[in-house]
Amino acid sequence: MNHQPYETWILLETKLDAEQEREYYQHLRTCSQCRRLAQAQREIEHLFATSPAPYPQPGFTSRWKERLAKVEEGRKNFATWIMLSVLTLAFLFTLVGLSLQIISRAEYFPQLIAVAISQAARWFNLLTSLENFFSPVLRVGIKLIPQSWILAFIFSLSGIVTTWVITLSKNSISFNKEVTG
Amino acid sequence: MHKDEKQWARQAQEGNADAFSNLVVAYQKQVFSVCYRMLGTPTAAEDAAQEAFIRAYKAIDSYDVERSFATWVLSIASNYCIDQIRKRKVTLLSMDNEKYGWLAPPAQDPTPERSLVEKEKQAQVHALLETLSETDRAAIVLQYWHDFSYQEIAEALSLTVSAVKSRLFRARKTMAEEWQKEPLVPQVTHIPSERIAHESPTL
Repeated sequence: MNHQPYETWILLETKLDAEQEREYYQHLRTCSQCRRLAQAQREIEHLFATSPAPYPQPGFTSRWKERLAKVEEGRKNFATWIMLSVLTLAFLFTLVGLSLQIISRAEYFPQLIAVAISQAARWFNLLTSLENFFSPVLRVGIKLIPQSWILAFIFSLSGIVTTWVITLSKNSISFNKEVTG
Repeated sequence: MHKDEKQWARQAQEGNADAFSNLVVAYQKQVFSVCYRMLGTPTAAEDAAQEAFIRAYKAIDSYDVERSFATWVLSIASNYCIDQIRKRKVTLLSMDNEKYGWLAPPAQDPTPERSLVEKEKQAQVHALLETLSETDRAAIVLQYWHDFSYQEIAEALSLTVSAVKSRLFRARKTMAEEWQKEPLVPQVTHIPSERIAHESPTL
């Protein structure tokens, strides 16, 4: 016997029009298999509707908060470990690189020292020349600038520095309050 | 969705964990219920429900506040449970005390007879659900106990509406066939024989 569309009507709870409903009940009268299926379906629905609703044990939200805190802490620890690992690796790579450089240049080491000394001497000479050039300029320049301008400049500079220090200290106090609060 | 819940969801998206806690309070029963029906034990359900809320909290930025929070969070919970079943192949009908020792809301304090009936009903429900594949089980749980439409089930389980109908048809047919087999569930609890004789003759 063909059980379609009656099986679908039973199992998908299809809304039937009057004609379909008449046809459906007529089929049920003659088909014991569909009758049993419909009965089973009704009983299962009743069972599901009357089975007790499961409830979580009290304190679910507190336990969730604790779990979230652990997860967040784990995430932070993970980030710290990643950063530390990267820094350690970078340090090790630099160390290895430098060691390799030293080893590869070992035979030229005396020349390297000589080059470094001559380079340092060249820089020293440059600084001395610059000082020799700027010293007379500054000595003459100071005399040309009016004294009031120099005083105004010193006052402005100290004012800016004082404002900067006060602002910094205020920010630091409010930040500490936020952290401790 | 309640106005407060929309507000909580928005605040949670701005990083307010307390606002999200309010959503946990509001939806813990529904989420726990899905997990319990899917996994079958209160311990596994508690763990899955907690994890579902953690996942929801992490993904709160992707939640559209104009849509139902229940649909969204239950979708996360059911997918997590499906994954758990696939990973661990959780057996629903192991006859341990942990499973059947705890079933009803603790505050209700049911009478022993009522408790027994409820345990048997719960065992029957689990026996029926155990016959289904994890996705079919999720579809049945979402439809019967959480009134999800075909469309909502399809969205929650990443299926098409026709696939949902097909799965529900198959799942109901399987359950109906199981239901017709006797007995569906073994006796889960024992009560003393004198109690049966004096108080519950029908049992």
